[in-house]
Amino acid sequence: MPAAGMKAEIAISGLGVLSAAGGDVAASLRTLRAGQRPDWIVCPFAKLPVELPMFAVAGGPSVDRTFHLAMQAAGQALADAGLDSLPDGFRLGVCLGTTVACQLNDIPFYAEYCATGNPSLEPVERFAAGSLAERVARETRATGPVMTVVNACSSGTDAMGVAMAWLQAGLCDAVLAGGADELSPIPTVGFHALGLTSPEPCKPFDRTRSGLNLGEGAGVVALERADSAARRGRKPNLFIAGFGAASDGHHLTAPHPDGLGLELAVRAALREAGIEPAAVDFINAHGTSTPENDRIEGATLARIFGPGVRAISTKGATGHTLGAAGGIETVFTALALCEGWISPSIGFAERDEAIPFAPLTAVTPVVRRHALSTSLAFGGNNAVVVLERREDPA
Amino acid sequence: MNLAGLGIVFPGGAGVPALRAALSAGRPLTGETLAKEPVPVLKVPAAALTGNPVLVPARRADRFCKMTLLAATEALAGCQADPARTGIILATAFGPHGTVFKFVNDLLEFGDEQASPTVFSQSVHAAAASMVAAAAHLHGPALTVADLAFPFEEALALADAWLASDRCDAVLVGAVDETSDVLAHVVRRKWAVASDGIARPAWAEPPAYVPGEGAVFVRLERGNGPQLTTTDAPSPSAAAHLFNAGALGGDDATLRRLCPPAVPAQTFVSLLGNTRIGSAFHLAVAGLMLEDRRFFPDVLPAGQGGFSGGGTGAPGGPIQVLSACGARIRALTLHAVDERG
Repeated sequence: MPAAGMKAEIAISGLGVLSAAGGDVAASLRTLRAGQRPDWIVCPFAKLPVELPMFAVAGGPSVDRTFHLAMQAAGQALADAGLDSLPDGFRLGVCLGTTVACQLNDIPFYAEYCATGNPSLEPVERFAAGSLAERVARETRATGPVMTVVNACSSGTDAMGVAMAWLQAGLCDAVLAGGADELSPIPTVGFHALGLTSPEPCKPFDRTRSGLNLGEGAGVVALERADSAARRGRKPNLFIAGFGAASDGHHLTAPHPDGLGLELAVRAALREAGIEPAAVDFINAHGTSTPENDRIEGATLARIFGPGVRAISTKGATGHTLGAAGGIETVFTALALCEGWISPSIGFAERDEAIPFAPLTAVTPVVRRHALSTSLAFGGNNAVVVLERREDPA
Repeated sequence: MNLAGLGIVFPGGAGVPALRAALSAGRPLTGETLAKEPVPVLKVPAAALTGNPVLVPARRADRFCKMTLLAATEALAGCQADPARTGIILATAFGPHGTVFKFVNDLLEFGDEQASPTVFSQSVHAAAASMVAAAAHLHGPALTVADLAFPFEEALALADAWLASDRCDAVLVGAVDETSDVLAHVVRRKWAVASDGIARPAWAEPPAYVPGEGAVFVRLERGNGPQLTTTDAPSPSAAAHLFNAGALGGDDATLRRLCPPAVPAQTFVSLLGNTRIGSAFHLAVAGLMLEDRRFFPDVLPAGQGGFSGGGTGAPGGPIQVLSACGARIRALTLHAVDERG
């Protein structure tokens, strides 16, 4: 245990990810480095007057898909961490974000309920089998705390903060943290009704951006107390150094016009990491490609880090994966620090004068030790993680 | 952590005085049968969700948001903490599913192109906590969590960690769930429903469910006052046990096994209905028992709701709220600060 007043160091022991950019870490790295948009599909389930591009994961079941995606990423992260088989007495927690898997919104079930008053309860039984985190905990034999975060688009990043709090409080040795979401008709129609979807592939931070594309996937990291990793003979060199979360306290669907909550969250994360803005190498921004998000996020990041800030959005390669986004983007940020290069911001071509910086458009070397990943959500929730790479393993 | 504030909306009304009155009356509430389903439900009365100035920011919101805002605002009253260091954790099992089904209904009835952006916004689980943050101008972390086993207990443990790590100076932790026609239908198909409209634990004869709803918020801070701890084991030294019995999908048999004959134990499920937020409701009851230094009478006949006439321990002593899911147990212990030694 750390000395009183000292916070436990939290190592990133394992990474797992799948999205349209690739089914695992290696495939994702190839896509990101190439800087080319992966194949996308046209929305197959909503009856709308426009065709909406979407970013799907290849293969996998259509029923219980979010759980399937989460288990794949969790399995990768556990294997990477050397935790396929948990040591005796090892307390593993599970904290996962989602937006789709928390809702009993099965359209055929409800249609049958309305039409016959006697629908099959099979979708209900599936829902009642447990929340996303509860089911993953059961499958992985985790005995630590369990929580499913449903904070809309910041859920995956918020899950990192929950995991850090658990680990620092000594509630467990390691946590599977991240998020998972599948493509679904409900958010598709809902985001379209809000005017946030684009009929063309998304262009984060671009002057001509016109909205987001939905995507699916999962990103999970195995976070572990450094003392636990050391006991297992692991020598991690990647750490989660800080987390910050803050509410805009402003509006249900619109971000605060001055990015108040985002700035509070960024500054809290930097404070926890014990670093100044100048120590940050790059930011994997939320960058949804909606006009409002990118303008406000861009202005806020430039205010904190200066107009020379190095930022990207990886949503051009994955679409907006909602509750999974924070998990996937934390993994991508960790990979950039590990590999020593930042991927190009796919979809960006034209500078927007309303945004004080242009995202990176070429593979760029990492030169400092820290990087941020930001998430902004519906309802004004903002969450930020600071990752750190150390040259000398702990 | 110190339980510094309490807010509640339940089928007996809105506010702590309404809870105290219902507990003092010692009678179960009786559910009303839905028009669409032959199922009695214990709903929050419409009068409790209208006319209160607190609800002005939620005047166009759904009942899940309104219940949340009312209870959270009551728990926040008198809070001196910095709004930027005041957090929110809202725990739910089913979220605003009435609104989710309204959205789905609109899609089926009017088509995808006519979907309402307002209804969609409110169907998002995080909307209610965001509304609290906006109404109270809070800028700390706001988190909504949805689990079936122990969402409220996990939320409390996280709040404890936030306070201990100095991430927040105050945390509003709430549990909120609502009834709906669809939920009532599922309860009717999966369990027996009460013909007399009175919710009971599973060990009652006859066992019968009445779906209920409500919102309970506690404000947690560091410092003196009633102290709340979360554990995964019952304590035989508690002055009384409150059983979160009759939880939808809970395990009353496990709870019953925990109860040594000499330990006073009660359940007040008949004032809330069968839900997944009963532990929060019973914590609110425990708060009043501690504050008033008295036990409340059983609201069900002997053997159905209580085991020893409403408690034989010392009034003002530690109260423990016990919940079960499968074989797992979670305990919330509330005690006066002078008993911690």
